[in-house]
Amino acid sequence: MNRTLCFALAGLLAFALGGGPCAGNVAAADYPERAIEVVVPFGAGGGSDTAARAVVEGMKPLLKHGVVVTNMPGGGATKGMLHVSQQPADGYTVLAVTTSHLIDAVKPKTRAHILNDFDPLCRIQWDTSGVIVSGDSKFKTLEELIDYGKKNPKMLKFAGTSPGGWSEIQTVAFFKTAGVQVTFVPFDSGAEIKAAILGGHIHGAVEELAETLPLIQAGKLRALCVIMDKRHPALPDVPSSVECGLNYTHGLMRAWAVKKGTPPERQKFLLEVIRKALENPTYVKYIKENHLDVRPGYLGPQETRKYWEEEIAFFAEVLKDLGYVK
Amino acid sequence: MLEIYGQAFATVLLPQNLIAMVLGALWGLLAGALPGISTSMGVVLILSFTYTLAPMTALVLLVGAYLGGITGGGITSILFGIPGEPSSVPTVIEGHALAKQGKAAAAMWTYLLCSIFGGLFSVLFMIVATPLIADFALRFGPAEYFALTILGLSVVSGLSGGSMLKGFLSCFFGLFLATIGTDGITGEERFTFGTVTLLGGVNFVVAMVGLLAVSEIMMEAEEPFKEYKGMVEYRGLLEELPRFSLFRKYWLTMIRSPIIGTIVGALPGAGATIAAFLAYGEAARTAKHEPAKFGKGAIEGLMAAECANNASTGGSMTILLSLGIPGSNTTAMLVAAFMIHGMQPGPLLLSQRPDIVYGIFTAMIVINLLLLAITGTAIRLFLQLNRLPYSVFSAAILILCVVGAFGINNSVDDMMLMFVFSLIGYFMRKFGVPVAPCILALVLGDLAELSLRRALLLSGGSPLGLVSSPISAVLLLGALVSIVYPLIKKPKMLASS
Repeated sequence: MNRTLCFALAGLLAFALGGGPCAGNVAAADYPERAIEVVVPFGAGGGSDTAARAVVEGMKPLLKHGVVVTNMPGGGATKGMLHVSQQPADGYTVLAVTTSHLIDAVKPKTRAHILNDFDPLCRIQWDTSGVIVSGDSKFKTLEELIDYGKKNPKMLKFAGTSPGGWSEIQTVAFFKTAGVQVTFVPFDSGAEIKAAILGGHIHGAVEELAETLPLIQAGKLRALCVIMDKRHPALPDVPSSVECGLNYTHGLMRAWAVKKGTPPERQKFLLEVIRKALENPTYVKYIKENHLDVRPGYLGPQETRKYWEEEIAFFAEVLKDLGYVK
Repeated sequence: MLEIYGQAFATVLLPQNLIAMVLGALWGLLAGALPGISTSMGVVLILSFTYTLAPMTALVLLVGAYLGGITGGGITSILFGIPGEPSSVPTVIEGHALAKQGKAAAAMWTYLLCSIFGGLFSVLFMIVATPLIADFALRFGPAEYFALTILGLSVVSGLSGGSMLKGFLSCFFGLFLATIGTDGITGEERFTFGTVTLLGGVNFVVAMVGLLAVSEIMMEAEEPFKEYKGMVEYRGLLEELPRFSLFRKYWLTMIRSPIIGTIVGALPGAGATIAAFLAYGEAARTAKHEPAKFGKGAIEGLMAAECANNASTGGSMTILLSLGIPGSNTTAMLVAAFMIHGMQPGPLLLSQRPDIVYGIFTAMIVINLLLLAITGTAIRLFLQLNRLPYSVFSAAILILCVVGAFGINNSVDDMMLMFVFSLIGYFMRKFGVPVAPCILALVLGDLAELSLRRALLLSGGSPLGLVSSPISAVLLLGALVSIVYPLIKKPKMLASS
């Protein structure tokens, strides 16, 4: 055996063992030292994905090592959430949270819990829904629709996307506030719902407004009411739910969170970067064009947690009514 | 009208737009050919590069990738037997069989010409009849979707090869696979064994890569050290080009498939894959010339599927541009692209931005021609791959399959599942159970079940709701005939199993 080679190898080994941890210590001092990953628990191109990417565009110039979006669809929004909860709490993995995670928190089978396993960074958007029917529907006002629904329990058929999820909750809870029992028919996507309403196969849907606006403005669809406390600037003739005497203003929210236990200074750093990204002109233009600025979306970490707790309590009640939770 | 299109052509042919279309088409072809990158993923990956481009340039780039993706699926399907896209599964079944008979070059050229023909046909159809297609598509409610899927499933008899019993066995196994995952109506988990991987159901690409491609490698591996059967000398363009008489012989398929493709492409719940299977099934059902060849290299099946999946692009774009409703996953990505550039696709787009709408129409024509030129040039190159010995070739295919299955969701579980399916596929082949009906059922099963249950929810539980519209009644009748007719005609088929 060549002795020199042995020594050389031993030296190399010693260097590798000694040098490894040393290099690590130095780099750990300044965060972030690599790209931050934003996990979107839905497929690319959807509402959550577009929103996350719009924020990420604004974050890119602020982070030296960049930021990447990873789409992790599957199991509602469970798969992505589970993934983030299994990563180290080092602030390198951020979860794009949506209302469906809050709903998951109510269900007994939940695999990761948004309140217990995550720390909210901030809420970024609070979307507005509307009650949508076809442009040639016999229902011209919300009153007529509610009247019909009260006289014919369960005959009013409304489309939505996620059974036991946000779409069903907002449809059923809205009509329950109005004293109407509605039949909820789940479809796979917003596109299918719109086609079903336009084709006269179903009465209508309670849906986020931004996507349906062009069809409403063209007269193909009709909004009977917007679900918030004031009128929608793009639909000045459509009354708000509060105006119609319904105390119901819930809406889809989007927020960002990190795994619980992430060092506070890293959370603060991330929050600062996100806040700056939310002021980026590209993002401001994006939310304006998509009418996501109709009501203020931003909430700080504590307020977001409080808001989540309240929403979860509300969802628990609705899901109990629907029989999803005992 | 001519003036509008003249202007549109002038805009589309501007150097920056032309470059964008070529790049988009190239990227799309690549994404389409690789099983791990779907067309919609391909479009998403370049979406973020379009933020800074001019709206028209951005859109033609993405449309280029879309059309390229749908077209590119055929390349790997024929040469390697791996479906690059779900919509090219019928192409694997027929095209790869042809390649193994040494007819790879002819299959490639037929696939390419049919693809482009289907694409162009649907663009012209869409220019002439946008409101007609949109109105017809809207008449499809849950009951009609159900009837459509049943018609699709009824084709099983045509795909079963010898034994109808084995065909139905395979079909019902596929239907069972389709029930795995979260129930779309109640949100209940079915057959997921508490795993997260199966919550979204059996991933379609994972199943078909395992069942079709890997199981075939296992079969071939039983015969060691042989040369690849598909090895051919490429003769020259003129000898390899399919004769016009081929298209004249199958004129009905050539007309019918793009129409099916365009209409099914416009249905938001369906899309290119279902379009390809329906057209393929129709071709199998009505095959006059060589019905026995289906499943073993029928050029007519290849033609039908490729015409239809490319034609679905026109249908999908029609409903997107006229109503703002994305007819497929990929066009849903295009909605995002429109919104990035401050436009909302919908009924108002034509009056607000006619330049964009007509620009996209003309760009689709140009892109189809570009695809013909690009792929046509590359066919010879692709065929060189066939000269590799099968031992090397199959290893490369296996790597592609594994990476593809893993790449869909970056999931090791999906990869494992792919191997499970390859074993299932291997034993199915060993026992002479055809794989095609299983895949057909997996594609259609979910939609069939959900639309049936939706239709019943809407009709208050009455099954009469399923046949109350003329469209669904006609489709269901067609399904009934195609299931019963072969039983009457050849009762021996059942006995022979």
